[in-house]
Amino acid sequence: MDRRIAIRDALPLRRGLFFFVALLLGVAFGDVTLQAQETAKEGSPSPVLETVAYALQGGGGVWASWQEDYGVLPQAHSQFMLEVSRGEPWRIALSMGFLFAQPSAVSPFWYRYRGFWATQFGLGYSYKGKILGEWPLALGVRGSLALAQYTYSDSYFFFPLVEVQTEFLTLPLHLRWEATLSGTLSYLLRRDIYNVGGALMVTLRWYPWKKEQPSLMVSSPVSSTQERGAYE
Amino acid sequence: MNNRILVDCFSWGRLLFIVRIIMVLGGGLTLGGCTIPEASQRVALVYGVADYPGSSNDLSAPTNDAANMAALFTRQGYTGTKRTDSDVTKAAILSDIKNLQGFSGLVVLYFSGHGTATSEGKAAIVPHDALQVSGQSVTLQEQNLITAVDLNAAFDGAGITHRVLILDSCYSGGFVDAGATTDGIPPLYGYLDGGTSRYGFFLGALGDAITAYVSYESSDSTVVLAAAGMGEYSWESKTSGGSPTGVFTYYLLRGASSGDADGDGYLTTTELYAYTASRIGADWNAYYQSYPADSTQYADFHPHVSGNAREYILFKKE
Repeated sequence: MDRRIAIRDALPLRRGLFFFVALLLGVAFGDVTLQAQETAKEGSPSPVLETVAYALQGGGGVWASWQEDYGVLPQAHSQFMLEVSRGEPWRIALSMGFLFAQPSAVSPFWYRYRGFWATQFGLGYSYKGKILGEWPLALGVRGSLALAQYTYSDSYFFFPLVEVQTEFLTLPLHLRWEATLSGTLSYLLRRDIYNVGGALMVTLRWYPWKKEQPSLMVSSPVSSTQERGAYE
Repeated sequence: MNNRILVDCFSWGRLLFIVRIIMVLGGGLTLGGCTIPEASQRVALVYGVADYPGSSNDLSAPTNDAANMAALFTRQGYTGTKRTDSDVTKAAILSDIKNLQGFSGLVVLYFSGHGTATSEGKAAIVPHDALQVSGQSVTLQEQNLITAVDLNAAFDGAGITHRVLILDSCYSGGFVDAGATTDGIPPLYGYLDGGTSRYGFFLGALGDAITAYVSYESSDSTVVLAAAGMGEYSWESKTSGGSPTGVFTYYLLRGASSGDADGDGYLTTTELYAYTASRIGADWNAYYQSYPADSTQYADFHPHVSGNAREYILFKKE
């Protein structure tokens, strides 16, 4: 009986979540398919379409984890995401991926915080430009919703998480490919435990409709000069 | 063209370098997490009741279970108390906890015996004095049952913050607090009962997980490892040529040597849950599922573990 009540209560939440995500997808990327079709006819992509990118992101880091009345313990984690984004210098991105948390270190009282894995769906917004001096940076924030399962158990849980991300190094790899190195600060809004920490992430990004070849070493004018010098 | 090749090689090299740094960093963090400090003092309170008042409610295994568990705890460096049969009263159990006032280490309470539900529907363990013989019949003394509320109050009163409850008794899943999680195992597990999983696929848990998130108020501090669900029996058996044993306790004891799922040389409450659940499923439940038409033979059950974000290391691998 309790179980039926729980499911019935959750239905509006699930429907609301579905329509919210669908709305976000529509607003952010609804015109991309149309523009891609026009590009196929006319042979020249629109400026907006040129900024559309697909990305694979992965990395790892550590959180400080603690429960009320219990100790703070380090907890390693890694994250792998697929992302689609558009816009420049302001970029909106939708992402989905997996988060793997190791069990935390062990306290002298022989407890630790449990490891888990989660699948997450996120929406991010970032700005790329010369925020600090001449060095180009991308600074953004991503909010995600995650469903997780504790390792070696049948316990599932839900939580939102907020990440602040800065891409501080961009490496053009090819005509339409680039790699970025970024630092991420994350806060998991879990109900029974706090997880706050950082991670280093590598992103491999592909611009399928980009026309121009990127200039050498966009991120660093100094490195760019050295690169040309080496070639000459 | 040459220029582009030069740039590509240079960039891939730097990318690989960065990836290598991240892998080394991640490896270091993981290894750092594996350094396990020496355990502080640990206490085990072990109880087993086989011989209840009268003869109609007697069990076979609990005193053996208590002896075997007490031996395991002793080998693992625990100190503590073992009580069996008529020594296991509500007053004695609560007094043993109260006597730990001021103890700051880990306390593990193990109970093997009958479990039941109170008239309010709360799960309870049945100490010896919860049954009394009156004339030809045996009556239940409900005031002597011990519920999760009683145990938590006793632990809180003694200031014990690190506590694990292991219950090999019927309906013991009622002691398990899901906390901010939703339990994927139904309280009445089985192909002919509540099914083998509440969620057919991973995302199927989303609705209940959101509900648990929204409705969460607080977590029970006790980490509970229970033999059976809120609605089912825990079973005992007799191995060929051996002594009677609780099925759950049998695998719990074996788990100390075979249940190290992550290979770090230590057994946590979660690993012991996983081991007992998988072995009961493979050995016990699989056998009884071959008699689906005969409900009297249908004796499958499934352990449960707390949804707490914390887990305790109970044993070094033997």
